[in-house]
Amino acid sequence: MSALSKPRAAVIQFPGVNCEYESARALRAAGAEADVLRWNVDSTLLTEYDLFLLPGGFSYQDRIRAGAVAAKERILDAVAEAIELGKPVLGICNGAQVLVEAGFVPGLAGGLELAIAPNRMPDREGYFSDWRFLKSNPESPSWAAALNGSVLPVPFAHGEGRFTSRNEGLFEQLDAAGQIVMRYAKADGSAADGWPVNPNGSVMDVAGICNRAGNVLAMMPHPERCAWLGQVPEMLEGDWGARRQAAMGSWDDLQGPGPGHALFTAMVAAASRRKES
Amino acid sequence: MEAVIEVSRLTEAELAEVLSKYSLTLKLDEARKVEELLGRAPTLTELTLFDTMWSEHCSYKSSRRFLGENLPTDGPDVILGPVEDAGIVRLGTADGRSWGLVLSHESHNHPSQVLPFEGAATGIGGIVRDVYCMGAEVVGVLDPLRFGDPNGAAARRSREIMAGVVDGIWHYGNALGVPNLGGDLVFHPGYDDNCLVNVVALGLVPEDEIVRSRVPKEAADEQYDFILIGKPTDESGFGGAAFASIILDDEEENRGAVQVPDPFLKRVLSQANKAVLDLARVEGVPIGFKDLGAGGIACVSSELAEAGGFGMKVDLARVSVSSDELASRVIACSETQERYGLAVPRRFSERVLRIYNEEFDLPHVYPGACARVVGEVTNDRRYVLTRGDEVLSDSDIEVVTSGIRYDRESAPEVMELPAPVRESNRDLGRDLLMLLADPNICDRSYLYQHYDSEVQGHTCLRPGEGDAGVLSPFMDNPLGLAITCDGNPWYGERDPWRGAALAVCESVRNLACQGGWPLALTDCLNYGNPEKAGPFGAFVEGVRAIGAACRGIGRMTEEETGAEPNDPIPVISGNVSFYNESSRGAAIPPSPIVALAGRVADISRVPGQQFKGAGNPVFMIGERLDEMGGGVYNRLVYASKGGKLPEPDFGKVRAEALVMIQAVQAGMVKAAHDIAEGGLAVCVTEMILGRRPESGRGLKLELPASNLALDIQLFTETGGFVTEIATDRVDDFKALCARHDVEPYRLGEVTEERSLAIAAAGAAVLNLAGDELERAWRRTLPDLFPAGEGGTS
Amino acid sequence: MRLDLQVKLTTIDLVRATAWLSLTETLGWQGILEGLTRYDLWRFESPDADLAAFRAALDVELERTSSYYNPNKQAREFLTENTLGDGRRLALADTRPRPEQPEGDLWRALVWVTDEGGERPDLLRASGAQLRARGVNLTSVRTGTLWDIRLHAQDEAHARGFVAGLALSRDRRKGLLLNPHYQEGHLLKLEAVSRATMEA
Repeated sequence: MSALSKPRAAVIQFPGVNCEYESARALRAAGAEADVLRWNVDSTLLTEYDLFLLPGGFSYQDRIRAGAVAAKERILDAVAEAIELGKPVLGICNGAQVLVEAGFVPGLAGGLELAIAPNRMPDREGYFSDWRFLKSNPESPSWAAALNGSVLPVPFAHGEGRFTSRNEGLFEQLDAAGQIVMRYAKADGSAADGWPVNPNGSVMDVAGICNRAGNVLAMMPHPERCAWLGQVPEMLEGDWGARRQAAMGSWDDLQGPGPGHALFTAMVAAASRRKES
Repeated sequence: MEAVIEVSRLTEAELAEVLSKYSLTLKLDEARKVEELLGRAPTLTELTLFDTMWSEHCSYKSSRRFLGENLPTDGPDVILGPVEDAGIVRLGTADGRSWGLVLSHESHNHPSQVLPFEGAATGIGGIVRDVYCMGAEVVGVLDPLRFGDPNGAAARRSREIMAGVVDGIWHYGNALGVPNLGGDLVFHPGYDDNCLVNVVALGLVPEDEIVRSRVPKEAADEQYDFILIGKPTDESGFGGAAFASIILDDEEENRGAVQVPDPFLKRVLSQANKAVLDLARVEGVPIGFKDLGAGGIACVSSELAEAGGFGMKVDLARVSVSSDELASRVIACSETQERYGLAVPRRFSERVLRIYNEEFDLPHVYPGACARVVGEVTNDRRYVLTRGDEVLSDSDIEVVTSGIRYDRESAPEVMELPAPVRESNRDLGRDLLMLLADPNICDRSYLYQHYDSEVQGHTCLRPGEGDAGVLSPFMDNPLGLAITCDGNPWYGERDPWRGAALAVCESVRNLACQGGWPLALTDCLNYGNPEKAGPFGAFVEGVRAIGAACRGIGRMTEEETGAEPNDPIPVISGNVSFYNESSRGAAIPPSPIVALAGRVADISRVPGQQFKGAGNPVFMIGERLDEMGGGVYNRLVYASKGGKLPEPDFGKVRAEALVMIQAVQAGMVKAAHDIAEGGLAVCVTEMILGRRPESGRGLKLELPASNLALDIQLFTETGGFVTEIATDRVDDFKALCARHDVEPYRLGEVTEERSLAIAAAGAAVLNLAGDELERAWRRTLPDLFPAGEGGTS
Repeated sequence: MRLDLQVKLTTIDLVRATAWLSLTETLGWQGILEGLTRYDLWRFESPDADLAAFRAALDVELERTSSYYNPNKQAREFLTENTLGDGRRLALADTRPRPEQPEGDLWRALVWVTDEGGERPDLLRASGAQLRARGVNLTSVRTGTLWDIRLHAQDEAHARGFVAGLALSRDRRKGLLLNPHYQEGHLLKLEAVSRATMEA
């Protein structure tokens, strides 16, 4: 891909987010140009971008509720326009909470249709961080369907990661429409079967959901923290852990792609396709 | 109208009453000394200012002499020794630039005892500001934590404090976006009334972008402004420095001194600071930058100016305050969090204000937060503090910053305790399981899972995966850095010299497991009341021991940094925390905590601590000696702290560490772990279970021939290493050992099955399945965080 | 018998400050919303207990544990005189769009926001055992955030509509204080107040 045709990514920096730079780095590694834009910039600037990333962190320090305050900010008007135009939008962790609170996801009836509520964990409270495997959904309308049903180890780090809703049958409906893009699963891809594989009590083990059109993805785990092989823990179960061990002693191998890289590649490819069509 | 205190006209009783009325902790003779120095009666604001500046916390009035005499602080690659809030040492060249590693270490002990959540949180806040204000990115923090016995007399309170402190650390630290690289967690009944919450921060800064905490020399030729940035000044934290320097009478009092933490504002401020520092750099504008800590505006403005050889005029009427009712001395000296002081040329001020107030919109991020010009640099070396037309202080600036010294009486106490009478024929497998379930040994994963260790994306060894945290911060270069912290109160209380020396030894071993060369050390010296000869003597012994260990072990070798093998490990920053005791009179065990930063030439060679490949040979370095004193085995089995302590033999530590560092860097090592608390048996169990027990391998171990009893061989805490070596590198490893005159003891080999089998002279000593080990090791810590019994956050 | 314990920060309340800025400046309630205060509200239930005994037992329990409040940063008060009821559960149907101009008198609303009912079985277990030893049978411990909201409205229906409007989050322009997909807003009190009363 020539430099001229690289899609441009905007990483939106709400006050208090803290994963903006590594998220931009992961997008660049996947072939995009990426800029970090403050929440209060002139929002007409955003029309020039082809894809959008709402990074993780603690926008407004999770005051009132995670994502609640940022979800009301004016810059989201520009994001709404981009969504209408079909541009890819990814919210990671706090970014996912913002997308849900803003009503962009799941986008069935419109408005706020679900919550990413405080974790429910049998033997702990509050924040929880570790690694889990995600089973991706090859049938989803999301650009992340390009992951093709693969099982990816990804780190998560949150106190509020439990997808839930009081709209009757919402998750069944989302499941039928393929909007459940990724679920927590065992290392071999089989169902989580509850805690602790499902680390937060999320309904139907949901880790990521897209909107109806598929261009917006809200996910709780952090793919930007596993975009390089060197970021994978050496003793992780399964294929990726084995690869990490095999790479010991080779800096070049550790600089190779990690499990999260494919997600960014899929997103950037979707932006390119849209741009060229 | 500002009150003037006519000190010399007051009787002792009257002066004591005045000091008490204004909650000043100055001693009577110190108050008289203020008047003497000024050559006139001090104003109330001045007396408050000196009260802070001369507190033990700020002035090191008892400790400074000993620190200077004993600690090596210099080296060919030391860029900034312990003169400002953080020290800087050269890490190396990567991504086309030379990088400085910034290290800082602080305590927030008393505030955490009173308000665990806020105390721990503001502790992190203060330390990262120290690093940010050098122009550095903060790339990691560590939390060395010491709490009371969770099953002892103050069990409930100790557990509540721990839960509150951990909540404070994650609420604040995770929000800052700085990875937590672990630290450690120790329980001891000596902390029942006085927990220790230390925090270490490390940063990275390109060498040519270091910002100093002083007004630059260009201020002689051009008018400089003093800009105050951040939260509106309020009464929170007023008297904070003095608070750190008194003994807690009753933990429920003293609330005025604790501040309200706000990681959100801090994160936005750090982003805005970055924009300002970038702009100054691009335009070539020299600036001075310093965070506000103890002593507030008065302290930061006077120190910035004095360090550059200038004077300063500050007008408190221009300060953004939470309430107009605040007394002048409160505005001048309050320790309100999340503030910085900046000295910039006047022509540059407008643009600085715009970045903070408009681009980053501080007033909407926090009510009343802003950047404002509140003073100006002067050439006359006077320090002038006004509030509008009213002059609150006007003196030579050296008078304000001069400090005060004390000579204290020192009488260290060493506890000679005999070894307990040992039983023979104990079930050593049972004993191991008992040790694994002890709060001081058990799995820390439950704690680490509260922390964000992966933000920024550079972490390659997370807490619990190895003896040190390792970062790989560069894109085009395998250069990495490793950091660890150590300090064992069970040794310190027996012998303050050995306790401190052993802390340095263990930190060197921790880095060696990751192939890290020791670069620089930072310490937090936590002791009791320095006005008493015992605790003060323990402090003096601790300082001497750290100095001796840094010299005795030395830098070993390291071509890239220019250091010579015999250069001492430099101590580039640190902190002294005295008065750690309760009104009940017991001092904490002498608790020097050291953090050692190291340079890892190629992070791809860094091994974690877990065993990897079945069939790989496992070696031990470090002969087992009868050094069970202060150890966990004697404590649990015989309720005894007695016996001989491990001997800190610096030459041996150095030779053994050299072997490990070079073996790791040469790619021979698959796994490595140092032998410490709980001895060899606990060490190898941790290598089986590690941070990811589900992927654990096993070990079949035959103890090397020894005259010692089996329990001593398994559990003595003599330092050393256990390491898994690649099968095809065994000869290289043995040759390396021979070169350094170190004996490698072959222990056995890694097994596919997750279990531990130990034999001696062909006979089984213990056989434990992985599940048994895991059950004993994992459950204790979660149970110490009882749901519903934690403190309010 | 039910006892409500109201706990307020004695330091600056940053959550309240952020809520205020978001409601007034971003969501447009400037001028209509006059005041906003935030408390924790703990609700303890013991069906058969004698009020004095119940309260005495809780006083001891609040001294024992810092799970409910910490005297170093919070002030507490039992709302015994006019124990609040369950109140009306705010529903989407209640919401009224924000008016262009402030209208009418000042109203005061107490909205208790609970997460999925706000039950705390862990604290019920811990404190239940303590209270049982004092002869009090604790049957429920619930917690939530109590918002004390003062705003202009021409009548009670409007007042309720505005309170629901700014409390219930519906999309990126409407409502802030609770997400109805896992939280509940209980309108514990709604009353017209004169300015003088408010200031007193």
